Amino acid sequence: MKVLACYSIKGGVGKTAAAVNLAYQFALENKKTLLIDLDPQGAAGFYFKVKSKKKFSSANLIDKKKTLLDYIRESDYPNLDVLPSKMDYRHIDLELDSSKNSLGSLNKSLKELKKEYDIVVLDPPPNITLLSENIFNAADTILIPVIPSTLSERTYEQILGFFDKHKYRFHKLRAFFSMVERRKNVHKSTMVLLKEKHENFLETIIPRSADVEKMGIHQAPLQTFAPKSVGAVAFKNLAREVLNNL
Amino acid sequence: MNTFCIPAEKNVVFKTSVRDDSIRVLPGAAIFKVIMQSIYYVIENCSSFDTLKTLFGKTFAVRPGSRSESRITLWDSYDTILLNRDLAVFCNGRRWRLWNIGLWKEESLFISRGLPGKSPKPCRVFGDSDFGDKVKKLLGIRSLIRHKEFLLSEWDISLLNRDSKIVVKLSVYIIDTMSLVILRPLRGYEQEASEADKLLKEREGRCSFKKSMMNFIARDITVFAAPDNKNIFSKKILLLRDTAAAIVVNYLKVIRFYEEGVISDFDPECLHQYRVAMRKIRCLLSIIKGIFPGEELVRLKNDFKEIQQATNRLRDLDVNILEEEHYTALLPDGLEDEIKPLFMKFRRDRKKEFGQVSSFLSSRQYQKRITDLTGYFQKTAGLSRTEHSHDPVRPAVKTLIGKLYKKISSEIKVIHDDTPDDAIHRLRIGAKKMRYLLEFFAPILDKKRLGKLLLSLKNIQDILGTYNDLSVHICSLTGHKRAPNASSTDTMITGVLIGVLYSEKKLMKKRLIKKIKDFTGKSVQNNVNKLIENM
Repeated sequence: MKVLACYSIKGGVGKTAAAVNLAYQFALENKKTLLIDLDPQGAAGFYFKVKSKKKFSSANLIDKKKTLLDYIRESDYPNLDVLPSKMDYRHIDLELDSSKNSLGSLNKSLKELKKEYDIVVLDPPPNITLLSENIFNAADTILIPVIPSTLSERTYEQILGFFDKHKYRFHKLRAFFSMVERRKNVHKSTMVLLKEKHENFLETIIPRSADVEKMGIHQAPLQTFAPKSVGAVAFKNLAREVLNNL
Repeated sequence: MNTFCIPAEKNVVFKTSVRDDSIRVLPGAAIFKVIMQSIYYVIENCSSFDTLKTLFGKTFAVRPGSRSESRITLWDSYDTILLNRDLAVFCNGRRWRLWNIGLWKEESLFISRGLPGKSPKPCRVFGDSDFGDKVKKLLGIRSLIRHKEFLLSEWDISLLNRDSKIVVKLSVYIIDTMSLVILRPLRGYEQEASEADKLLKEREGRCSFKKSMMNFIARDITVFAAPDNKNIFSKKILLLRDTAAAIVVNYLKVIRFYEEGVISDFDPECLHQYRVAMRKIRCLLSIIKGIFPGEELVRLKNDFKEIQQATNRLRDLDVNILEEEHYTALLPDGLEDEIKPLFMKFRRDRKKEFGQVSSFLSSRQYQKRITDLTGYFQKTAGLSRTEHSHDPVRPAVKTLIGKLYKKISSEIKVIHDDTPDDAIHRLRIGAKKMRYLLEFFAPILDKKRLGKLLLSLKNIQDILGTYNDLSVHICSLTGHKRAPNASSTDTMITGVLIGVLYSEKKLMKKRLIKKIKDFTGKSVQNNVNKLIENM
């Protein structure tokens, strides 16, 4: 089983869209996939019309004595299941802080999924907290969407700095350009600059697309309602590139 | 949490407690565990979308999905061996599927390059394929016969909740007015699946799953069930003649079943099974003595003998034709083509002989004869008492088993390298009689001991049978060789074959002599004694 996290400190960079569309594409490639929505906003679950069960709580996520399996829900698409988020995730850092294994609890909990899934995709909230560090430990690959702008460049370097300071493994990090507008010179030049500076950028570029915004209207992955769109094709390619790297 | 592979039995559901490996079955409960299995319903008059919408519409939004139709033919042996095991072969164009009806899943697929339409299909036409192997294992040398054709509609339907989320998936298969509805629960939506299940249960009512599936697939097919002798032995008082007569009636039913198969020429196996049933009746009449009035017994034996003789030649020709591949393989290189005219002649002769047999079996005379025989054995209560007619069954069978075993043992003791074939033939007949006797009275014999004895018998019967086959083939080929109209090629080829078969036969004899001695050993003796004692 491989764990892939779509992570960013900054919001609005296309993280959830990436998690949702990648999870869908992995399932299409016959990988038994689970998408775990860790963001109290619950956008990933919303896209799949999946709501959390009443009895589910953040404790199930971080307490290895409690199971996740009973709360997983099947999406409308073959090979793809979803563990939707809950509003009480907003307290998760407090719970992690008071647990014995504040940085490794998530990793332990995910182990019970090993026999059931080929890939687990995590969609965490945009911040840097104990939960984020749990994700850094649990994930095999941390996928970072980067809008080619000055602020995003700064955000990306903050993540690298954090990894360096806390001795997390750099080899897990994979960045990709997200919401790219090729007409914008600043995007073009930033992409060139960042690729020269950092070697872990993937080749695939996700363009800015109105179709991606329509995911909220359709409540479905992009590939299901606009399969030939530029965005859908890009996510398909990104999924293949990620699978090759996993 | 463990996951399980549970066969899709409709009314079996499990609940497991969290982190508890034990399973508790809750009767009547519709609580599902994490990994749920599909649930099957077979429903009459539920084939339109509107019906399903009405059924589910109050609780769910009902969304139709993809729909397709295909013309399917159902194939099985003449005596429905596959259907008796909840299997069938479905053919749709070039796709042949071995289908597990009970689990509603494909066991094997064969894609043909083109097998001609409706004619019976021997297993060899499927070549060296997984499908061919599996079907052959089940059917032996029987052919697949086309039993029925139907239009199968397949339909996917989704049930949605208020958030427009699919919560239950239905696969609907429709044949005529019958629908097979497979309810596929979605993980995490146990309650919704339970609700859908409840709606279907209310509609369909309680019914055995297996019966429903067979009804769905094989509604207008006569599924052959070999008559079961167990019922005969359920009476408290078993008298020899009544019991024997009831056994004969059962075999007459088998004969009547295969008769039609012979007349229609579906499969040479039909004639074989017809003759086996006839042979069993004749055997029973010959080994259980003194239960029918003398003159009547003579007449009965004569009737069965004449009927059987009418099919002898046809059976010989069928056996010869079945050997074509084997004989061809025995020939030296370069002579394989020379044998073809011989088999063409066999086929011509067969066609002629079949016509005669078919007419015979369809004739009023034969039909009356067989009906009268059936009537006779059904009404033996009215017959006059004879020496052993009212003997209790168990002691009589005990004696018979002991006698037959002694006879076989003494015949085995005198067999050596120079023993003529007649003696070996008598031994083969004796072993066959013993096996048939054990089969007739199996319900009152100790299962374990019987099983052991049958195995010992099978070991000698197999080799005696093979030896006999060789003798029969040699005899048959010799007849062809000496036929006045035999061509020089025929003479040459049959001569070569006879030579090869004769060498095989000589080698076989040595093996046979060694093997049959085992039957007289202590182990078999003790088993027979214990079998008799425990009766």
